[in-house]
Amino acid sequence: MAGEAGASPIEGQRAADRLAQLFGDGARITTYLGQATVEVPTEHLAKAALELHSHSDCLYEMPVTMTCVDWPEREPRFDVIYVLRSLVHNDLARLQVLADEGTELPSLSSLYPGLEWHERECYDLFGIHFSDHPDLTRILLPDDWEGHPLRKDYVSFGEPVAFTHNIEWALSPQDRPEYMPGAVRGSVERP
Amino acid sequence: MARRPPIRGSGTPVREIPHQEGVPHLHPGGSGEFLDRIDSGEELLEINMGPQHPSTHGVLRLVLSLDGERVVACRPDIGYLHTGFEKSFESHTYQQCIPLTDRMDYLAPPINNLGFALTVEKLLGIEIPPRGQYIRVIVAELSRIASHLVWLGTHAMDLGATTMFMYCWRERDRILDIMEWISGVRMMTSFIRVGGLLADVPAEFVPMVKAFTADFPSKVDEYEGLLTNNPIWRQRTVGLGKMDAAMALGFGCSGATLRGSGVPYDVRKANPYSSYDHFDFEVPVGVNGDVFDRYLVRVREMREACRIIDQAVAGLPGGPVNTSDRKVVLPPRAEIDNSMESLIHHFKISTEGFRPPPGACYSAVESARGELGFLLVSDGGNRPYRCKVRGPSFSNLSALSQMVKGELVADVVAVVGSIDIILGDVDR
Repeated sequence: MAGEAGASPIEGQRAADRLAQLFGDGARITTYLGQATVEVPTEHLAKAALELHSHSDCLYEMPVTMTCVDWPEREPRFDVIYVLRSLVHNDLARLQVLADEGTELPSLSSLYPGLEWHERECYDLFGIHFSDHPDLTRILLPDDWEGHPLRKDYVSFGEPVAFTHNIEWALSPQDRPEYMPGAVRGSVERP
Repeated sequence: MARRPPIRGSGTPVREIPHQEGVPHLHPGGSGEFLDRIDSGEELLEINMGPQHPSTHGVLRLVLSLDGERVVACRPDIGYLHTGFEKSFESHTYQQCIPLTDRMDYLAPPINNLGFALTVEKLLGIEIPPRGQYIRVIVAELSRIASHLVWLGTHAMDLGATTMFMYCWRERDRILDIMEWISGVRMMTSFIRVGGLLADVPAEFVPMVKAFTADFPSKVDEYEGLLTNNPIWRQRTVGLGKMDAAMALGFGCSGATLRGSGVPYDVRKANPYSSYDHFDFEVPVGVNGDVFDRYLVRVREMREACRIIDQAVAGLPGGPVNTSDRKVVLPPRAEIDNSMESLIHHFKISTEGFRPPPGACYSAVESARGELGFLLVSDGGNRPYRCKVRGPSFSNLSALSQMVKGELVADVVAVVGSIDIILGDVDR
């Protein structure tokens, strides 16, 4: 709110200050368009979240959302982003960790019950695993769905159709993209 | 947590009418009390509610575990309306994404347009002229009223007050007429675009809106006359589906679902966008966090939305509605005839759109259901690299299984109605 005392000019500054104090160089802070993002190592995630939730300077009690961004060329390939809001301080924090396909992040659903569904969505659409999650199952897609659609290497539209110009691509199992909705990999025989 | 300072913001309690004496409450203890009485040795009955149930407001499936008439556990099963919008965003240019946002929360499409447009504008670093901002506010508030009317009509119909549906549809139709007049479409308007609006509003717009707001408050009086003090309505709603402020916050609830529990959080007040700080309005909050309070909050919100529209129409500035940034919004037709530059801009925007600089940003608006946020990641291309939509209904619905615990199975429809979900918003 305009002119409100205590409102920081940069969104998420409170979280950044607190986590920088706690982890020192372990917390990497980037600011863009007046919003700070704090990146912490995976092993500090649970501690950082607890601090943001409960420390009186932070009190980010409302889990706004949580999501993932896939950068397939990078190692590790996923940014997992938590967006948390403090109503007491009227502030928004962005907490970020890096993850790979094999990484198992700690589930924050016991601290933020609202994140339970968001973590399921992350598992469903990106294939990120969470340890100690009460019910890590697919949430939006059917249980027997293959692949994780929001990964960049997942083909979003179309199924392979054999034309004369692409019959090799369409029917040879080894050249198919890794995830193909509706088709079982390698099930189609080359003529 | 004892040292917890109070939450900022000024909420106005909705409870000015005391509960009527002598009306017996069906829900004396609220949720939880009956759970103690449930004999754990009893066999539970598991039933399926939905996805084709008319009271689930779309395609929501609830797996209910029942002990007699009482709900012991509820597991919502969502995804029946999953459309993969977030994947589709990645293969459309920014301006092409606007029609996709319409189809998420399909009862208040202009607010979705607004949320997306504001996020892209933040990435681009542009701000649209005051007239455009005011028209955005008017259109957004009109669609908020329309959305609340659908909620009120269907919620009351779920509980047996069938007449309400007809009255609410009557007023909603007038709003859709206004939408049709300004955009040519009644529902999926795509009226708010990145960089401004589809077009300036026609001359008839202001008289139409004024005529609507002049008698809409009296219509709200009619709705309240039918429901608020109606003993049957109160018996079905007071004390039902209770949720305290801490629980609502923990689940990330927002909108009337959160405000019904007494938390005065409204994005329009906390982080004003699109000139909302120019208008005087109140944030109604509930006291008990039950179905009745959420009803009162939304009804009061319709009155407040009407006030905002009145102020915005009265103070509607002149001037352009679109940004003058020629790299984002198409130049006027007449300019193309005279200026080579404009022709180039027209060609570039039409063929490849615009390219925000690389980076990520999150911005939120107050939709009819709560905080609608967009987390947009740009890699410098003309399409979003990743766009995460924070649908308010998704978080609100995740609290449902706690809210219905211990309630009667017949009251589940009342609780589902009171959180006002839109499955297009939940499943995206």
